[in-house]
Parts: sequence; C-alpha cells; structure tokens
Amino acid sequence: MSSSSSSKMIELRSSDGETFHVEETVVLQSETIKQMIDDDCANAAIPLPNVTSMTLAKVIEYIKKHAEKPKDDDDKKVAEEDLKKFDAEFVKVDQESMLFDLVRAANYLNIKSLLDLTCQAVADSIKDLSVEEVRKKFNIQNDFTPEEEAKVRKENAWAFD
Amino acid sequence: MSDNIPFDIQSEIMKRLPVKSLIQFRSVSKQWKSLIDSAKFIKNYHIIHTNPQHHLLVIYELDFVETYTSIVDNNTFPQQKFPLTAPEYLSLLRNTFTLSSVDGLVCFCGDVDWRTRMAVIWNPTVRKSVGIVIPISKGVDIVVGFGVCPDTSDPKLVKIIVDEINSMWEVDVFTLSTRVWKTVYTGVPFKLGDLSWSQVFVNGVIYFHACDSIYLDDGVRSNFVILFDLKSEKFGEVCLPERLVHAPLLRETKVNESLGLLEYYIEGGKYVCGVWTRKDNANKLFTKIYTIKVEWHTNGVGINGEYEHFVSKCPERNRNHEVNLNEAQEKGVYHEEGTFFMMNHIQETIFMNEEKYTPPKSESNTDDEDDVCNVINLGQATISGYDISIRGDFLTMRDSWGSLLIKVPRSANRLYKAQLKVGKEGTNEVGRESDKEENPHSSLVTVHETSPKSKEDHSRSDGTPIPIARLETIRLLIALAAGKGWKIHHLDVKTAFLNGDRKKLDSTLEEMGFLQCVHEKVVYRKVSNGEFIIIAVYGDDIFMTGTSLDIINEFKKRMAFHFEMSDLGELTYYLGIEVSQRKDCVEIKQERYARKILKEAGMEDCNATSYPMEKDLKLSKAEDEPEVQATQY
Repeated sequence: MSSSSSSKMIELRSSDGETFHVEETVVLQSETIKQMIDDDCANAAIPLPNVTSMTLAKVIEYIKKHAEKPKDDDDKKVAEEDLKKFDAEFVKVDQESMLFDLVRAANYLNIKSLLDLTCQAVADSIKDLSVEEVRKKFNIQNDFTPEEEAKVRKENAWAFD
Repeated sequence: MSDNIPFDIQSEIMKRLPVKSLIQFRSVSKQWKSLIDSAKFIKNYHIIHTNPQHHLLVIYELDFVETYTSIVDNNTFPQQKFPLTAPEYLSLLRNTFTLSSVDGLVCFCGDVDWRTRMAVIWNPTVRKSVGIVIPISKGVDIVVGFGVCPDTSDPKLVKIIVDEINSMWEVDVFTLSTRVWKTVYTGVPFKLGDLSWSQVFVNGVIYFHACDSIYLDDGVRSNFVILFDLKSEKFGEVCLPERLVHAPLLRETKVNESLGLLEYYIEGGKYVCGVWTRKDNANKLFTKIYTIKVEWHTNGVGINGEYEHFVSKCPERNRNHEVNLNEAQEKGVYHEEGTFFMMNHIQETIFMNEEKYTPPKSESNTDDEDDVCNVINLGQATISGYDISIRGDFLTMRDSWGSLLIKVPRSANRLYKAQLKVGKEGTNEVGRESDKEENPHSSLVTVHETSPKSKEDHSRSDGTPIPIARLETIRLLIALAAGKGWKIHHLDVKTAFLNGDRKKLDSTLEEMGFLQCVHEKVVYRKVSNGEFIIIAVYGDDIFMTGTSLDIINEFKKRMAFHFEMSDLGELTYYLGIEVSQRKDCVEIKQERYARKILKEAGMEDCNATSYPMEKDLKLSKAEDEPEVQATQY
C-alpha cells in the first residue's frame, strides 16, 4: 500500500491532451490507476487514451464526491443521502452519448460504483424501448432470420403486449 | 475508438434490466439471446437486484375461471396490475392448492391421479413453470415442503413420508437443478403428532405446522412448529410460548424476514388475528407485534388461505387492509370456492430458459370417422358413479375409485370432446383409460357443457356414492336458521366426499358425537351442553348452522385437522344461489344465474319489464314426454 501523504497529486492526461491533477487518495477508486500506482508507473502523467477531457472531468467530479469522508455517524447519514442525490443528478446527462462515454470510462478505469450507477442508468433508459430501438442504440446487427425472430418472440408473446 | 459499447458492457447493462425487458430483448440478436438464456446469467441475476420490487400475486375466481393477477406492492397499490395466465401444468391437476411461495416462486400441489401427486413450481415473472411428480405409496401419509437452498438458490422439495402404522418417517429431498430425489433420513419420527402441509419458508428453513395427536379436555390439540433446515437437512422444533401452544388456530408466516406466527381467535364475537414474531437474539422469544381484525367471510379466505402472507408483508397496510383488499378485487369476484389467495413474489429469472410446457391436447384421432359417436349426459354419468367437474376450461371425469378417465379442454363450440375406450362391449359402462381389456373399442364421447343449474339434477335419492344433500334440505336448513336467527356457515373441502373419504367423514363425525339423519343421510346433528349444531354435506361443500358461533367454530377447527379445506365463513353463495344473511331475514336469489342466462342469450342490455307470472310455473321443452316423478328431485 502506498503510505505517502494524502496530498500527493496524480496527473491524468485525457485523449485530447488535457491534463488533470487529482489527489492520489481520490484517484485510487479507479482499480486501473491503483494498479499503475502500485506498479510504480505513475510518476509521470498517466495517459488515458480512451477518455476525452469532457468525460474525464465528469469522472473526476464523481470520484471526488465519493471520496469525501463523513466526520461522525450523524454526518454519515446526511452524507449518504447527499450522495444518493448526487448520483441521481449525476446520471441525468443531456446527451445519451455522454452516458455511454461514462459507461466506457468507468469500465476502462475500472471504477465499480460508477459502472454500476451508469449501467443502471442505461438499463433504466432502455427498458421500455422496442427491440428495434435497442438494436439501433447499441448498433447491433439483427442476425436472426425473420422466421427465427418470429419464433423467439412467440415463445414469450405475452411480454410484447 | 468506436462509438459502440463492447459486449461485456452490454452484458453489464442487461443484468440490470427488469425481467420483462430481458424477455423481449432476447430477440435483439443471437448473442443477446444466448447470454440471457445462459444458466449463469439467470443464476446471478438476483445478486445484482438486491432490492427487488415486491409484487402481490392474487388468485381468485372470476366467472368460474381462476384468475391470476400480479400487483406491484408499493404506494401505488393496487393500481399497477398485470394479468397472468395460470401455469400450464395446473390443467393436469385436481384438488390443487397453493403450497408456499418463496421469493419469486410459487409452489402449487395437486393430484394427477389417485397415486400420483404433482408439485408445480411457477415463476410468475417469466410465466413458466416446472412440474415435479411425487409418487404416493398406499397406506402412508405424505407432507411436502418447498424451499430454496440458501447457498445455491436451487429450489428444493422436501417430502416427509409418514408411516403411522410402523411409526416411521422417510425424508426425501428433491433438488430441481439435478432433478433427483435423495433420501436424507429414515427412522423414528422427529416428533410424534400430525404434521400439516401448512408451512412457511424463512432463511433456508421450512417451518411446518403440526398438532399433537392427543385432544386436550377443551377439544383443542397443542400446536407445535417443526422446522427442516435445507442446508443441514436436519429437523428441529421451535419453542412456542404457552399461549400459542394452545391457540385455537395457528399459522406460520414471514414477518420482516423472520418467522412469524398468526394466532386466530375470537374476541367479543369478532375474528381477530394476533401477529407474533421473534427476535433473532439468544432467547428467541416470541412477542405479539400487532392485532388485526380479520373478516374471514368478506375475503373468503380462512383456515388455509394465503391471506396471511398479505397481512404480514405490509405492516403499514395491515391497519386498513380491508379497504385495500376490496380495492384489489375485480368487479364481480365471488369467493365461493375459497380461491382468493394473496402472496408475495419478487422478480426472478429462474426457468427463463425453460421450454414452455404445453399440456397434451386431447387426442383427436384422425380415424374418428369410423368410430361410434356417443353423447353422454353429465347426469347419466354421475348416476353411474362418475365424478365430473368443470374447472376453468377443462372438464374432468373420474370413476368412483377416483381414477382420471378424461381431462379435456373446452372447444370453441362450447363442447368437451374426449375419446374413451369402452371397457366391456355391449354395456354402457365406460372403462378406465388405463384398462387394457380384450377387444377395446374406441368411441368418441361428447360431453355437453352444462349450466350450474343442471348440476342440481345430480342430487338424487339416497344410497348413491355421491353425498349430495337435496336442494330442499339446504333450503330447509336456511329456513330453520332464518327462523331461529342462526347463521349458516360454509366449508369447502378440497376433496369431494366420495367412497373412502365419505367413510372417513362418517367416522370423523361419529367420533365427534354427531348423529346421522335416517332419511337424509348427508345431514348430521349434535347436541352438547345445550348447544345444537346441524350440518349438511353437498359434494365437497359443508353447510352448518347452530345455536352459537362457538360450536360452529369448534366444529370447523376439528374438521380442519381431518380434511384439507377452506373456511368460507358465512354462506353467501352456493350452486348459483346467492344468499345474504341479515339480522332478521335470509334472502336467497339467483340473480347472477339469471344474468348469466341473459348474457348467453345476448339479452343483458334488454330492458326489464313486469310480467304476471304463474307461481311454480315449470317450463319444459317437450310437452309429450312422460311426466317426471315429482318426488325424485
């Protein structure tokens, strides 16, 4: 474990070249970066070629909020409520592509709580969509023949009411 | 970098979708389908969904058809409803009852024939079910419990075979994933007494209700609760407070994820239910957490209804449950069969990849043209000792030994068609399906659906295997009760009192001190301590009235130990006759039946008009037929 002081800063560089300075304790929420720090590969700026600066800013906002430590038990309850509210607001993004970017970033940086949150948000947004809309959204090729698809649908016809 | 979401992230998203969406999205692509259908995905689904949305499953009878509805159990209750279709397997079964519900699964139990039972495990969320055959040996009693293994989430059945003669138990456990029965115990019973099917599953343990076989002075038997731990496969006993040991009626339930007990009793002439639960601390003492007024007759659920689950799951709703319960009912719901159940279920993905079970269609042999067509009147068949019932869209016919002869769905023209083998040529007797007599001769039997009214035609003179009180007898009973200001109560027994059961009924009643009426063999009376009770049996219904409510309740309680039955409370409906019992009068009418006829004739919207009608006028189709003997019916 890294025992250096909590104020140690880590430098992250997004795909479009912007750099961010984040406290090490905060950034440790990312398993990917934690691994790099443990392997002592984090002395220079860490390049994140899969994450844009816009997305990275959002991710840092999230991990900073989640790194706040409540002072006592009373505070803990308030903080938990606060965090829930924050999470709910956090996934209310204007563009859907942003949500997808966040999912990808969470996956790449391996931040479990953020991946949970964003995947759930995507699931909530697609749960009432039609099969065709889902294909379009994920850019999935329909590889069923019309007969096969009809058969699959027929197995659970009630769900399509 | 592509704009696409890699499949492993797609699968993370899929895991978080509700079951209904998953079922739809199986048709997105082959990759999605194979992931959703995979055993691993199904098994791990509930790990993600740790805070499942609870639903209430409501089962009731609507226009003689069992109706299943799932209602979202949150503050919108009961607005969000989803109609369900009954599990396909149930169409094979008779005397079906709901055994227990565990998480997202509901377990039903019923008879396939006289030596085979079947447990049906149903997942209402994916609307699929699995049927498990439970063989029954002669001369032994069985009790079946249902639970889910806490480690593997695998549904399990526990079968306790009680051999009373040799005082032995054999305990078998069935694991659904392997479909294997395994004997885990043979030997002396864990505790002597009468183990009942009434049960609840909490935290890996099935709790069975049991009674001491000895009656105490007040006619009550001590209650005890036996537990079976699915993990260790060992029995144990729950320590009950003195009050619950002697409770007149005790049922298990789940309260806040721990064992709860419901104590039914009468206080100030009202039915009351005390809800007890125990703290999971060292001494595990039970404490009463609240008392609820229950009106058994309004919801038609009593002794073995699943009402308890409803009571226990929503403590805040218990206080005004009556209002909600009524709201939850559909217009025109009647509970004459006691089939109003409520139980909790959550979203569960098990069986999602199971093949949909389609019950075998009635054999429509193409060689039919050469067969002799025959039409058997239902009345004719019952006179010959056959037991015929129409439930849902199926007609079943059993011989007097209880073997299933036919089970056929209703066809579009409202006819039930079945192919039967005629046992002996030249006689009118219908042979059993399994009979392989020489020279079997196939014939097509067409059975007309009959209106409930014609069912009454089956009541005949005494000495027949089917114990059916004459309509006049029941009318007389009503008149008597009305005159004396008594109340008539109604019990529905899960099996009709045929032959063996009839003997059991007779001996049970005799044991209780009842005298059989000489003229009408299905009427019994008993006088004790100045109290008087009279009962009448009609098929699988028992009507009773008496000088006090206590004596009626005492009778119900004692009957419940001998027969599987539901307490329908005060008589409100039988054989298409509606009964309303008021303080100063009893009103009987056939409004619903009349409306049904109007509906069938397409006249329900016609205007009513007054018309002078001759009293006791009998209309008949054929004038020139020989006159019916007036006393026969």
